Amino acid sequence: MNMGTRPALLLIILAVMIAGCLNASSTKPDWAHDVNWLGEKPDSIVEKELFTQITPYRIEYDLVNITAKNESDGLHIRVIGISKAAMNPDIYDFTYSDGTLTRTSYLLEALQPHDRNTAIAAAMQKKEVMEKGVIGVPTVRRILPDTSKKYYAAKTLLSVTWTGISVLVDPDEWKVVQVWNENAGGR
Amino acid sequence: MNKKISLYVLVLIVLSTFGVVASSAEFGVVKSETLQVGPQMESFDIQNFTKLEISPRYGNAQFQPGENKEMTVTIKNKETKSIKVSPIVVVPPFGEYLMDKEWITVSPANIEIPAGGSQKFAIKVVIPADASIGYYNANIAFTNEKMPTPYPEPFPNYVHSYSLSINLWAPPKIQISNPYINDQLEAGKEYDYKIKLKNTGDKAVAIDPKTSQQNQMYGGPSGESAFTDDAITITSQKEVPAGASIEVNVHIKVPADAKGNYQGIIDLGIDDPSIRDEWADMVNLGFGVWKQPTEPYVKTFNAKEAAPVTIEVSSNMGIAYGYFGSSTNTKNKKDPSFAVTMTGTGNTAIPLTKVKTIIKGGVSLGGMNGLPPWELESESIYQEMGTQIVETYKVDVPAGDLKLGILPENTQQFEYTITMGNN
Repeated sequence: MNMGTRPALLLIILAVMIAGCLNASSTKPDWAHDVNWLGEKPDSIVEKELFTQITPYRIEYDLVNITAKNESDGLHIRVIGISKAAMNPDIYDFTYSDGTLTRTSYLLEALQPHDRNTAIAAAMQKKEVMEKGVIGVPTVRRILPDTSKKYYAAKTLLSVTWTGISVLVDPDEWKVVQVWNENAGGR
Repeated sequence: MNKKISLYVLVLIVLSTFGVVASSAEFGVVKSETLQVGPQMESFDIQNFTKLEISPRYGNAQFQPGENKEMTVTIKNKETKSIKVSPIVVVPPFGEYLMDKEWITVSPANIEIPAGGSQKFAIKVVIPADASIGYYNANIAFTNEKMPTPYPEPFPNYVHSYSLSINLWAPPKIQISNPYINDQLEAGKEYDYKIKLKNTGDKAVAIDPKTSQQNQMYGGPSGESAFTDDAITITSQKEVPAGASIEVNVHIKVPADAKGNYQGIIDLGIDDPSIRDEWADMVNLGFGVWKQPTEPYVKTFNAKEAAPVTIEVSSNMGIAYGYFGSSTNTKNKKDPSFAVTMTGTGNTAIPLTKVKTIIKGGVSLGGMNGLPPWELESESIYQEMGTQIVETYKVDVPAGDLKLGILPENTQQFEYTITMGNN
């Protein structure tokens, strides 16, 4: 090897290593193993901001699919967090406009089987649920603190829902904190 | 003489009367002194207490046996003179469990806080490895000043104290694979379920699983249970060996005449002191009982002329959020299906051809559409509310009376349409 090319080669190797380090220190959090952008990709600030507003619950996402589409009121972003440990994904909708990222909807069902089962078991102990004679598999959805605070406390709760009846379960104590019975006209 | 004696007696009576009055008056003074105790209590002057700010006043912490933690309490002397503080640990002689004073050490043990000065006290809690799981309380009194009370109190209420609550817990050694079993059962059939128990500890744990009567009063909408606990047989080993897993077998023999719902509990009877919640070692049972019909539903109709007929049979939307089958084993999923027949005059069988099967779904855009208010924020995200199976049959029928027979399987409701003529 020419002595003149050796420093250049070392520089290239160094540049590749630095690039690798930069990639490793990207916005992707530890709990998102793989992030896949589909459609329009905004600047990395949006991705960084997205990861402050989504988080899995006692689970890690093996894949995070992010779809973005420009609409008249801003960028519409859908985030789907998929985990091999959960039957269903977590889905978040956001809009990004004038530098502000706003969560508009969420449907979070990525739960460990243990958490899902224990929430159902806690719900089944509730008198109203027993009296209803619920049959079949309920949905179990994570309710975020800013929603939960209206019904119990600003903390993560799990909503266990059969047709016409739903209970909110506090997963810290596996305690039912609210019951909604459609036939009873609400809570 | 008699007059004199009478006069003396009269004087004595008068004097004794005054004496009584005088002694009553003395009593009255005593009473008024006693009454003065009240005003003394009412006027207890907060100024009499040493002005010390204690922050925080309360603390609670979770420990596992063998753990230790340190907490800090700051005392600020609001007096204009220095105050000597000698903290003592006081354990209330009541409660679920009584803490040993030796678990807590406060340092410094003695100190003089100058006027306007602050002092931090380190409260170190060391829980012995053999301590019993439970809730404990203690007070750390920084001075011996007590709240005055009108009546003697069995336990003094210290003015300058820090109240500490300890939740001593240990993770359960037994892990339960499925804390509930929820299924659709058919009357007259038998079912087997398994509950897996894993012992993560280093000692065998005894178990004694049996059905519990705790929620037998809830038989579902009809109020009557579909069957009794006699229909359930539970078999298992008597203990879960250290580091091993076992299975509790649950066999259900559904009576042939069973109808409605069954709600029950299996109390696993796990001998693990770390389980404090009585529900923590129970498995909930929820069963709906139905009977698979053996005879088809028959619809008689008349064809005015020979024509092609299309029959469409659809299951109900089913369990809007689930499926017909076991909730603990998705392999038990049972899709609805139909056995459809057509007979003409004289019960002559007319062959039908199933031309298509449609899987039809109901999808919601979330929000308040049949969902609880706390799921309102799912609005605009598609959610499948349930599916139904639609089967289509074609048949060429002769004119005359015809009988359509539909025998449903794995659905408790169905709909049909008969379309005569080409469509």
